Amino acid sequence: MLNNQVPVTVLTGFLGSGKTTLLNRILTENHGKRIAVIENEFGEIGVDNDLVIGAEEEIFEMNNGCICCTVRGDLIRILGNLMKRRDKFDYIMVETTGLADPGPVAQTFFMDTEMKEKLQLDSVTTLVDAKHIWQHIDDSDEAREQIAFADVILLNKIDLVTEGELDQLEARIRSMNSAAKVYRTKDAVVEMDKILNVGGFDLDRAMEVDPQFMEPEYPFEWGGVYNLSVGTHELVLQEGPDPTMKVALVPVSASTDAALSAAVEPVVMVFSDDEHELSVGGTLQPSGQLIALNLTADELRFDVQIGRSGAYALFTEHHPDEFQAQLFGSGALVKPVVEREFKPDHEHDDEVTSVGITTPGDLDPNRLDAWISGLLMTKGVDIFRMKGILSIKGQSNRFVFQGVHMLFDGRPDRPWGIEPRYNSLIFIGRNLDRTELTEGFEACLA
Amino acid sequence: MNFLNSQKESDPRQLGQVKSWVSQAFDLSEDVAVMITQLQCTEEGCPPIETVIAIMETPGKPRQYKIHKPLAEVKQTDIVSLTTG
Repeated sequence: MLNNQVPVTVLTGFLGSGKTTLLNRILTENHGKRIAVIENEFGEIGVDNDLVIGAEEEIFEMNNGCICCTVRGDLIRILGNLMKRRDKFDYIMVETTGLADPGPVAQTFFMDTEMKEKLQLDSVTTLVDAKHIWQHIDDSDEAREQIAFADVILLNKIDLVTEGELDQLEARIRSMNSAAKVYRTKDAVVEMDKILNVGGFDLDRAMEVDPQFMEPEYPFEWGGVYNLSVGTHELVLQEGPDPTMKVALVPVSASTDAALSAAVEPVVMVFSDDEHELSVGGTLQPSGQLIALNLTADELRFDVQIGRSGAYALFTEHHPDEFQAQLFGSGALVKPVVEREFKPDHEHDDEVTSVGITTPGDLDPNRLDAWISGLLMTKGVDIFRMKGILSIKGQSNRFVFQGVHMLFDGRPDRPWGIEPRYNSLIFIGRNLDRTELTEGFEACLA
Repeated sequence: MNFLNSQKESDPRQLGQVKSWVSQAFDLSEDVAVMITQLQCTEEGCPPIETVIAIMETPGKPRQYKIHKPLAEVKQTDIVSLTTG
């Protein structure tokens, strides 16, 4: 926490997701933390209800139409009154209505100069009803936006669904917001430390949760390099979750991680080509073509024809383990010398997605400023959250920032010291263009 | 817009003073929220920095005023002139 600012947690979640259960727990359990709770106008527990008069949002066109901000006037007033009793609490939790867009609530903390000085948006925590969210996630912008705005997501009511359904839901949520920390809860039971004083955006912690979250997505889940001798090998699979699997086999320069990495981008291009179907018993060659293995027969065996001994990389649409895929040569199992898992494409074509960019090097501050300004002016409405750590040329400290729509708050953080300097940022929003964002950002490198 | 200097330091006393001038000049009751924001804009025609004052007396209908100066330079006369302008 910087400058003795009070951390604020904004609590969102669709109607019936468990917000009131969580608030009851916060207000009644002896957790040793002093938390002031501001409830929405529909809340059942009357703490500051009497302070809420109107809940209409205030819209400001700030400059020649370049920034149009929505804030909550009622919230500013309630927080102002609450801060007169500053010595009575250490945290503030703001509950929003179940149907509310959390944007205007979150923006409020980036808008008013006094609030920026005294309060810090610590996190947006979103409760998700693990059983019933499926009824809303496809049809409700609010449900998707609550997930997209979240720094912390509580998958609640896990006792009502199977482990498999939870995994499926979590994958869907991560495709929309890969930076959020996700916890599975029953009756909204969660340690207070998981939702309080989260610190806005902690990239290191986000990467602990999902080390691949900053990686780009690939059309394949796995790649491995094999040392193969001249002759015919055999790829044997078992029945798996799909009737086909796309693969590409390409020669590489060596059996090393570096050689595998060098093959990745060319193979991405191969995976964008037309596929050639290969029936069981057919022959796979290191042709650099995209091959769709037909996996509908009883005996799933394919020949692999190698004309010259050397290192070959096999890239597969799904992880080989899903099909218990194995390669044999002269009757013996051939294992990959190096292998790597890749973050797959989104399984759903949600319009709400997240784009992470990570790159070493220093940024030119003027170019960065011009790029971000232009981006927010043209796409700010669609960029729900923006967070990151930047390495600015000539500055010895890390620069950390987080933003909501067109508003942001950034400040120098701890010194880089001997740590390698890098940039990591994430955009979460609607209709984001990964290539355009990545190229735009990389053009800001000094 | 200045991304790298978004956290403009402002003097809390000056901020409180300007809010108090606004309440006084517009004869606002204590529970009316007044929001103050300093903005930088590089668009043509915009001043380099301005102070935006919003009075949120009626929910959903804020009164908004702009003073083309940084917050630190705002004087009571600037606020009073808003009521007559």
